[in-house]
Amino acid sequence: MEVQTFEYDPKDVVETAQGNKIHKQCCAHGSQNIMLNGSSILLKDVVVRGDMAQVRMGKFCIVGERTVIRPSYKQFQKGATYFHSNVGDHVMIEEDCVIEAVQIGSYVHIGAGSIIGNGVIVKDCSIILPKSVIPPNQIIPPFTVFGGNPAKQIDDAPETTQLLMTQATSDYYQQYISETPELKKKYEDELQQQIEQLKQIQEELQ
Amino acid sequence: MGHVLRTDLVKYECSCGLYHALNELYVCRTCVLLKCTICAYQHVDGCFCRACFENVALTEARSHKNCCNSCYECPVCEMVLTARSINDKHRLLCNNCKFTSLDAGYEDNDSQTWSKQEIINEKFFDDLKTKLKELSLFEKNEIEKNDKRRRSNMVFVSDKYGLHSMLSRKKIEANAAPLSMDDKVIRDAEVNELSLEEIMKPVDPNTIPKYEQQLMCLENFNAQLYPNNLPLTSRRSLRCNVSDHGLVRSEYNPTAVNFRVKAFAYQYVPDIKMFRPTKLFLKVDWPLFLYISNSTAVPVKVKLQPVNNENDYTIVECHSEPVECTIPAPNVVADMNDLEPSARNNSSVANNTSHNSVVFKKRHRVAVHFQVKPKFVQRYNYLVIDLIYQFEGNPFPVSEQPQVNEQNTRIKLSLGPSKATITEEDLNISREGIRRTKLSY
Repeated sequence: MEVQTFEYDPKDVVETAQGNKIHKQCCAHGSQNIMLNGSSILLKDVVVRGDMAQVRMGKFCIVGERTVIRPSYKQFQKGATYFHSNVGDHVMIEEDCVIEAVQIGSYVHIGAGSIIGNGVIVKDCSIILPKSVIPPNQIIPPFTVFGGNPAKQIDDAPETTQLLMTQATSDYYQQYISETPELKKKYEDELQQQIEQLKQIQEELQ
Repeated sequence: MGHVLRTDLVKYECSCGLYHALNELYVCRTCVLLKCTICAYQHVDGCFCRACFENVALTEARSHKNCCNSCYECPVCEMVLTARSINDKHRLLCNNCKFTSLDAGYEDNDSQTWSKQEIINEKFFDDLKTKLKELSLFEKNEIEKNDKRRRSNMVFVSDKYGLHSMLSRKKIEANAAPLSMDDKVIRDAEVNELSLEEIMKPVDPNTIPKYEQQLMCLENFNAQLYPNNLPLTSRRSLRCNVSDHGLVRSEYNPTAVNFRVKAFAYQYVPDIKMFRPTKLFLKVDWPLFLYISNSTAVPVKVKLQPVNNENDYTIVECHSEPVECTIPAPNVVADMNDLEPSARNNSSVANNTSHNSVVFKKRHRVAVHFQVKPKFVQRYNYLVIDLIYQFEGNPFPVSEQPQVNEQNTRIKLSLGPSKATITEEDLNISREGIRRTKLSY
């Protein structure tokens, strides 16, 4: 299935010079510590805690609504230290997730509502199913599908995951466009056409 | 698989007859056939530990019972245990269920070693295994020995240099049958009687480990749970079953995502994707839009022919004409330029209406449309199309391969449920609704 066009109100989203599209309702604490490598999307109500430690994300990263990205920490006798959080390229994080991982590799797909614990390392090309809970300090190997609570390996990810994720994230970025009045009119006309067609057919059937 | 692109909706027919999504298929370059994991031969390339990513050779793995030496898994929840130092001593701890090595009876120690539990009669079974191996080797040699060897005419050779006696002695030693094992098992004549009270004692179910937990440590006959060594994960490589050429072979490094050999069908066969989820109503011909894209470096001539099957009622009727078009190779530079904001407003779509069903063409992607009509009201409907494609050039990057002929694959598209009437819900379409539809199939 093709990725559907996702229009946003140009008043709500900021587009930076590097092509990052950040919604104005995101809470990006410590924004000087947050590094987006270009062409990334942060949707509505995303919370990125750059005030604890550096958060680095690669290019074509998509973070879904209401997700929290928080750097991980380790408790020592003298207190806790926060580690820098690294996210790779072409990563898609769906909505309502809580990410406390120390490293997320490239080409990873994290399903909606999943919780990734403190100090977890997710390697490249892995898939995490929706609503899965990964306990702290686990390592997710590459090309695996993890799911459940606590998350266990369910399946092997296909070898073409890198190609699929590259295509999916690039398509999503291309389809996340600002809503101009012409575009709005075009879609409204299309919808009207469809509704009229359906009504006609409904009359014919009856 | 609930992937973003929903590649499981379009299934291609493999050479073995099964239908798989295109990302799960491979193409053999010598026989130019589609292969899947079921018809191709699978081999184990090597093993690695999924926690410490240490590569272990297969023979070494076998001697360590396919487990990692340094990593442990929790017997309660199967998660990897972490070693934590508390007061300068080490302890194993599970972050999920808070199981510690203290619960298993191990004390905190300075070096991170946790001795394995003793297995009852382990030595006896090991001795038995080596003895049986010796016996099988001896039997094999006996069978292979050629009894009909040429008998020499020289019956007696003078033993002047002592060679004959030396050779005959060596011969006798080599052909000696292996000794039998000592029978250490003695049946005890006195057996204690079973007491009914012991059997009928009330048992607290919380003290008995679960079935899955018991399966993880079958060697321990007592019920207490000990941390087990983490089992190794194996790396798999695929070979074609017809020509024995490699299809997929991964790198030596377990964390690498590159492949030494990769023959994915995704990069060879034209990819077909549905544009939008369709609605299917009975007795109505509703349009279905498909995107065909070419991912090879040469242009491809494609013909899509819908297949109608009167007997199978899950297959929708499609009486559209077959679509024929030539799709050029992708132009990466132009695609990158398209991503820039300035180019987006100017992106023009060539409305090439040379054929009725082709809606538009843009570089390496073509959109076509078919009219489909379901036969019954049911949950699953499929559209079957024959894809006939021929490359105008060499689609494989290796230059020695010959010209590839016309290929034919059957494709099954899952279209979802069909309805009898158009309801109010169908008439209330909005952009938000289209964007947020979650497919039920």
